[in-house]
Amino acid sequence: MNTTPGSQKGFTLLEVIVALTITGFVLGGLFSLVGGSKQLSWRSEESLIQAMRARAAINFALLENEYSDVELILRDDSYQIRALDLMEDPERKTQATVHGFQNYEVVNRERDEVISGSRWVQLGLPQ
Amino acid sequence: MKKPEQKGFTLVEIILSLGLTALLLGLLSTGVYIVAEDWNRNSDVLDESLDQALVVLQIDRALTGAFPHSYTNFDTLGREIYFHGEDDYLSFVSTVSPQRDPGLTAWELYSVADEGVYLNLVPAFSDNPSERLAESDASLILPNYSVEFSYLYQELNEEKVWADEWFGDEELSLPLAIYVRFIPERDFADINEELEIVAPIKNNQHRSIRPATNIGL
Repeated sequence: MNTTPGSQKGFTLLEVIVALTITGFVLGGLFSLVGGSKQLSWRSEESLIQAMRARAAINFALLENEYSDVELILRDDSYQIRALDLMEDPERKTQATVHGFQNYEVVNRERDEVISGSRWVQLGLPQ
Repeated sequence: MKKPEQKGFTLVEIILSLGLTALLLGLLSTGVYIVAEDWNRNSDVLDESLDQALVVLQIDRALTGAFPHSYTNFDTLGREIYFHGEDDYLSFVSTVSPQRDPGLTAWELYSVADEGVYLNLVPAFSDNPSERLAESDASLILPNYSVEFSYLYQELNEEKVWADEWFGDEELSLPLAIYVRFIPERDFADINEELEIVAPIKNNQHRSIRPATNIGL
């Protein structure tokens, strides 16, 4: 076969390297996209379960609304319930109050979450 | 004919290109490995846990909206409150229904070993809904889970404790709160999470039927 010199010109090394690098970046980008979406679904599953746990803890905190204690029952201890101070009484009252307004916090130390709320608590003696 | 000069790559060029190729392949394969690892967690885990969360929320809502439904017991002709709670079985009447049906709905929850937790729903008319519950087909809501219930009541010394049974026809009221624990069955303990519900019941006294005494079990 007769070929004129110069007609069979290959890619230069530089071109090949550039092409390979671009392919690599594109493929890598695609894979990280897929992986990212997977991780997202993973995290949302996790937070769904956390939301259910927090809900149970809040409901339990609301049960503790009297001076008598409620027997503990929740197995999951990632959410701790903390009772805060009673809120101040109004300056003028027309009747003795039997309920106080109390703030409480539901704290998850691991995830650094604090959910705060308030509840009525029955006072030991009318004030 | 002059033979064209056949110039190959130099050793340095080949080493360089081989090295770069190896580097790229390495990066790619670690990427693939990470993705494949993630893939092992079933692709429909999120879907399933969304369904689970919805189911748990609905049960939570239904328990919170429990209603002291009364019916006439034709043997004694007395009015009784419909609520049957054991540690692994619960049937009650709620103002909540998943289809948002008007009126009251009777809910029945229990678990079958090696299958899961079943839910049965029938409308609660003015009678005792237990016969209709027995005729209706239950649906599997949480596969590979078992369920446990506890019922909160107030003792005479004002302390609140959890009991593992509550019968409306004896207590003539509803418990103060219901605790539900969904436990993954042993073979699925590493895939499924334990789920818990605490549902306070606001409406635990019937408007006219009163418990005879402050009951302690």
